[in-house]
Amino acid sequence: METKELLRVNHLKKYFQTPHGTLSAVDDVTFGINERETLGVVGESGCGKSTLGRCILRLHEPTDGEVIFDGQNILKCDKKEMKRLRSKMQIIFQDPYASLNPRMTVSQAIAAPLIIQGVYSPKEKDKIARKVTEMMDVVGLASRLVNSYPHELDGGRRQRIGIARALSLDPQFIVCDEPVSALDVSIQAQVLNLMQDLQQQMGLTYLFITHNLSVVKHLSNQIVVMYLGQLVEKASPDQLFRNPSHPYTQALLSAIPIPDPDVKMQRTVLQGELTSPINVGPGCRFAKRCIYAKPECREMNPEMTEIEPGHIVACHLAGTVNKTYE
Amino acid sequence: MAKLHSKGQPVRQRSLMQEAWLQFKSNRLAICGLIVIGLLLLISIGTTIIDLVDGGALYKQLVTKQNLLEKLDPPSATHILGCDEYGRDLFFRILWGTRYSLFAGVCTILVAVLIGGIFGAIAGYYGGKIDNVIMRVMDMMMTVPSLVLAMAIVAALGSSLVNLLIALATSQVPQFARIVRSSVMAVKGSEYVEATKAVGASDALIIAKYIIPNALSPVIVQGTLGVATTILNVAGMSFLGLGIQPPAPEWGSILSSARIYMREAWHISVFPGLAIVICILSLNLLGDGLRDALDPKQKR
Amino acid sequence: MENTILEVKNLSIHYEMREGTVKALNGADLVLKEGASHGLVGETGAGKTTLAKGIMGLLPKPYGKIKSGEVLYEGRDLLLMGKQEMQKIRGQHISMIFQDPMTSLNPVMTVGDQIMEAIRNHEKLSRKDAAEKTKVILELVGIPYVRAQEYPHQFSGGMKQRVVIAIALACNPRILIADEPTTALDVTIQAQVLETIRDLRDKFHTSMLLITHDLGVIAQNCEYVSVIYAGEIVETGTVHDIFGRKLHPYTQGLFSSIPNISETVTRLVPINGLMPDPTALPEGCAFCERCKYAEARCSVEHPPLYDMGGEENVHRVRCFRYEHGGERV
Repeated sequence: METKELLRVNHLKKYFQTPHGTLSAVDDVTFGINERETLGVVGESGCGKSTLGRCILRLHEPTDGEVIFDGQNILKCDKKEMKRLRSKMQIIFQDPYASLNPRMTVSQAIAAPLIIQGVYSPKEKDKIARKVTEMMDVVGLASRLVNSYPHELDGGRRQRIGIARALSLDPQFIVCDEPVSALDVSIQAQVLNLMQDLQQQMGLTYLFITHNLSVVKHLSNQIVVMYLGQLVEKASPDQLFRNPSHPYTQALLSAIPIPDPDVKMQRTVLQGELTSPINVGPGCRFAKRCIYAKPECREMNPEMTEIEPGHIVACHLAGTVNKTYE
Repeated sequence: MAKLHSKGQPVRQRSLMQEAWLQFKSNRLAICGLIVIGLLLLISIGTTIIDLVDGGALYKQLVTKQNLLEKLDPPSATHILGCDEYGRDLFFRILWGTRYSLFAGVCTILVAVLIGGIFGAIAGYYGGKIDNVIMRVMDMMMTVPSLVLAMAIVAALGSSLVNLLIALATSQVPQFARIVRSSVMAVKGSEYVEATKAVGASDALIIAKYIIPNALSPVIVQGTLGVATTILNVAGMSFLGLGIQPPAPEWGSILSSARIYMREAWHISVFPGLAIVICILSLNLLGDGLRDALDPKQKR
Repeated sequence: MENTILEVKNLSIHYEMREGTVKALNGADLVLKEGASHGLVGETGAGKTTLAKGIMGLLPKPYGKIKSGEVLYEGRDLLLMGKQEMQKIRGQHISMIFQDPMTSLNPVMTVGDQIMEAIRNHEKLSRKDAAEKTKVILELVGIPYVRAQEYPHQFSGGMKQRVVIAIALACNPRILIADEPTTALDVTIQAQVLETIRDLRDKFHTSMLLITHDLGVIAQNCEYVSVIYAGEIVETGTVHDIFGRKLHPYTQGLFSSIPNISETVTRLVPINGLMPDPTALPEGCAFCERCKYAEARCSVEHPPLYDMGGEENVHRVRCFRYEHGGERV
């Protein structure tokens, strides 16, 4: 089957002005996502992955770059076009508590996008009610909860409301910003399965942002690893876990505790901590913590190099520090 | 797909207001406060109606007519709270005085909420320089004690009821501006507003449907407490002779004229003082109850 | 075979609120061996933190009520101890690390002073000796002594958690209770912090109760594991017993719910449903509503723990399916 690229991000940048200087939250990020596929974005807190997701939806106005959705640069759209496009691009948030208005019932929360986008007028109560019931059924929420408030429900159900709200406009593309991180493991699996089912049924494309590498491996067709606002590696899950090629990816993978007492991990414990990307100088941003760092690493930001088909690494030493994981 | 079912969790069909009322009802002290305030409101409305109907005849008869024979009479069967220094019945004076306090309190706070709310909302929603300018002005107003500020305004404009209200409202504006600003900022940055933006909602809709309702409850709570403060301030201003002028039976001014008779006639100071205390206490209890009840996150 | 240092027997803790009684812990048993690391795994609301607080005598007042049970530390029941005696035990014998390093440090005191205070609370040392000891401890957890004069907000999350560990270890406690010590941290930082804890434990031979919901953390850091569900221990044993045999249906469910890095699974097998409401626990097995093996009996009769032998003869499971395979305890 021919796959079509649904979303392309070109040289996207988002800088924030802070009292201490310019913070480059997203710095020159480029990637594409095929239709009906999932792109996983992994990185630690503060690496800019959430900002990236919000910039793609123009919830933050990017400083520079292009976001091309279905052939159209959405950063050039005016307000009216943007409103129309918004029904095709949605977001699911991490904290299912904070992302729902505490004063809206389940049905009001799910109906709000339909009314805002003018799919139904607020007077068409029957149609709205039918659509709400349909959406609740799709995400597996019992219809008796229709008049409940978010605080009366547990995290898993709240997240289902968030998903129903995002899906009510029949979008093509969804940014999932850590949708299961706040949930317990058993509930997490329920929600992940639901998201997979919905992707197949409705032909959705996901940008899945998470810090959890096992989740991202489970779901994604492509994975990008971010560090301090930049992409450091892009590969398929298989390539990434078989042949992690950026020293940061290697450290990240080796830091995951494996739930098997017989696999004793050979760790490359990463020294130091993530600094904030304020006033970054030239050179590789990872150089300070990198065990392989060479003088050139501190002087020049590495280019993206393709080391095998579809596997791109931003490292001066790309291909030479390869270490097979496991 | 896994359907979630759990037993023993009935479907709530109650609205948030009903929920809040249920929560409020379980707070006995707050209910006491509500009853007392309700009673005081009835008294002030009742006395106003009586005055309007008989053209102030009863008011003159009971409240302002001097009867020096009964000067400083202690509480008795004919005058249950006794008489003041001009022989006027203290019970009726306190009764008729209720409306000054409540009217002044409520009007002042309404004005303060409106003005403070608008400034606070602008500052919170737009942020940046506008926010800075508005909030620094508010800060400057806050550095002057409210009573002193009110005195200065009354001194400049002359002492009348309207000027008094303007003065007291001005001194309350900054705190409402602060409350509204901070709740607007909290709601503005929340993920659910972001989610609404993501489906294409306009600024006006976000303000009307998300920001105002969520900012309302802290304002209601602070407003109730603010009424109490204002009543105290009115009494304080009247006590100092800058507020409502005698012979109008304002509680603070009764108290003020009573202070020279403290030794001979304790009742003139105690009863209006008690009226103030009960009124303030009830408002504070009501405010606390509302604060607990109006938070939708509060789980029952 | 090591000796038992701490034993929790049949501990029940309820929170009596206006809205009803939350049965947070219902007859939990736990045996902590000297020098060993014992993992306690369970989901939000399963009673993990309540158990820890119960051991430490730090239950929130006035709601938290101990309904039954004993906590034996070297043969003495901590629950019967007076306030002053218990204060001595805390810190000097048993220490606790909390989940959120941001809230467990005093923001207006320098890091060095906080560690020093912890030392001087329990040991009569001069300021100079205490400062010397502070230096040693800070360096043990990997913080250069020059940073002792800084305040908590100048530290990152991982560094703060190290400070918390330093405070917990200031008096060489024999038992360390770590309540989700790395949940708030990123994976690379988590690896650093866990390594620090491991090094220190090796050095001081400290026993540890590690509370977490992350099976990976347990596998890599613990020798014994207890699985807690709705306030009860449903399975306990050595790490190999649990990870290898996975006898209890809930334990099995936990494992099938997490995506595994080393295997490719196309679909996760979640545990259906939710944990029962702790104010209205079912009469029978707490897990029966979500259990695919549940029989009629499970909803009316409460299963006891069955002894399943295992690697060190400590493997126990609370499930009727093992009635005939094991011996009732």
